[in-house]
Amino acid sequence: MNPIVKRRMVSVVKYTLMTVYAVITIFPLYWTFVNSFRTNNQIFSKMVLWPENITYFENYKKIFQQNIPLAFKNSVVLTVISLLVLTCCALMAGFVLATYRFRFAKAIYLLFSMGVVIPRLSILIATFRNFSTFGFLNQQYPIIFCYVTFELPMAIFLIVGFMQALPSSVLESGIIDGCSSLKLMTRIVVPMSRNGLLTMVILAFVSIWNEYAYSMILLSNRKYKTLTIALANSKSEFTVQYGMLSAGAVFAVVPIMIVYFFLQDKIISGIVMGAEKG
Amino acid sequence: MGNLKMKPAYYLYFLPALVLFSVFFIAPFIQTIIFSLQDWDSIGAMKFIGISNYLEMFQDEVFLASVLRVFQYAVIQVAVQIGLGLLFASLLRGEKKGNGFFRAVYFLPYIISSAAICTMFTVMYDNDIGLINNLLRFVGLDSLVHIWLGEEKTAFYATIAVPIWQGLGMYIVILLSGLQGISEDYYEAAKIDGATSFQAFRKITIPLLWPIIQICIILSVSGAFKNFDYVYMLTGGGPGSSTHVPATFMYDKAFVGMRYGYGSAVAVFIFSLGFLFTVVFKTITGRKTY
Repeated sequence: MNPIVKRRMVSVVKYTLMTVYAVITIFPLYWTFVNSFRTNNQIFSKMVLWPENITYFENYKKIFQQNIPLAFKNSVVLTVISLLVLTCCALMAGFVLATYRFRFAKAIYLLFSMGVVIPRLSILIATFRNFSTFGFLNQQYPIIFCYVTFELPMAIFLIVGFMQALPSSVLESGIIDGCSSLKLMTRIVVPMSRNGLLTMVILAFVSIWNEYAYSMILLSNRKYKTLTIALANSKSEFTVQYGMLSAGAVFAVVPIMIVYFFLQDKIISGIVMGAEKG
Repeated sequence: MGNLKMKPAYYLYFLPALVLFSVFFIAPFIQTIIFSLQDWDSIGAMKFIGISNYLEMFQDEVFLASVLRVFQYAVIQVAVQIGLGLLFASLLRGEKKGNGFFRAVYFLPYIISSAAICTMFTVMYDNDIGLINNLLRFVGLDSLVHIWLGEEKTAFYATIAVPIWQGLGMYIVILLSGLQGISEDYYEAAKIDGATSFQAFRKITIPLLWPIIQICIILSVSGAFKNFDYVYMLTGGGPGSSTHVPATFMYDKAFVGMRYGYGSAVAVFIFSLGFLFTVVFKTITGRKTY
């Protein structure tokens, strides 16, 4: 067979496989999206590829009357505060680790490595008990400590990695100009590591926004539940109201898909880098 | 790590991170180990009982079944995620057009929260209107219709299919990135020497990609050991106890059964499992660089 024709055929087969898998990947999401615009009766009667009436917004209206918008707000507040705290802690620690030479560097690195090796689920019981002792269980914000702590190791490793890639000549000229360490950090190192910072924030954002186990256990008060938990609870609250369930799922997924749409390059390369450094 | 001279005052920069980490991670970790040696229902006092919890644990049938199950899960997860991951990564690498698009699509499920995914799949697995059963009926495979999450025979496999599906995209992306790091020159030289693409795959791709494959295996296996969200949300360990994994078993004993000491012993076990596996795996395979 003509080699060019053969190459074309192989190519077609490959693209077909890739497209089939792409459809498999997207289909659950698409199907949920379609169902969110249908009444329960429609859903139970037959399967379609496009909603009978795309302007059927009842499911979404009902969702908004539940506590899902409140949960959304909670997620936003907790995630933003956590990211701010995380950024400060990780930047400062990463800066020192990446810039200076000192004996305990290896030890500190090892300490944070434990954070990667020990599954966070294992310390759930002890954390719950501690929260109970300190009276944190009925409050909204203490869980931020947990969120930040869990993201710290990876964040620090990423930041150190990025900062170490900076040319030392810039640092040296800063020192010659008489920069204090604070100026060095804030005027030179941090601005130059913007890329790494963005990657770290994105990764931490995805992880914190989607967090389930701790949010479920430590945020017992209904008013404080995050979007992830509200969604998980909606299953038992709405049981077979599949239209509402689907609308809830779509609503929960849309924000992160928007973020993903714009930043997908950075997100993907960040995860890859995180995996390699781990 | 860096080159500049350190001053003692600079240790202050570590303070926030170290304090947070010590209080909210290291301390609970040590506490967990201590709790595992106690008998405690969280209300009364703790009673030191040595390794009784561990002894009970290793004789508990449900626990042992859950350990076996999580091993099964890990094997399946690695085989599928790395096997299919390699397959699709190779496909993507070969066909450059639309690369970015496919990559973005495959990776998408990974960033969606486990709660949203489980909600979607609960509906999908539904006996009457679920996507899976309807598709089967549509092509006439009625005999394959099951109550996926409700039957003991299928519940576990249906449950682990979800995180495996969700994570596959990440491995495709990681492996693709690794593949792209292998220079074309090797393959051209191999072709000149008359090697088939299969031989090239075995002798060039696998060895050069090996460090990345190792990382993927470790990530995939430890992910399986830690799995809690999906099993908990999809089946809660049921029907009966046929889908319990150590993580859900731990939750059940500690927060439902109110046995914090026993639950902590399970927690220590889960941690040790992941740790042991990483150590053993790295020792057996070694770090080869080419």
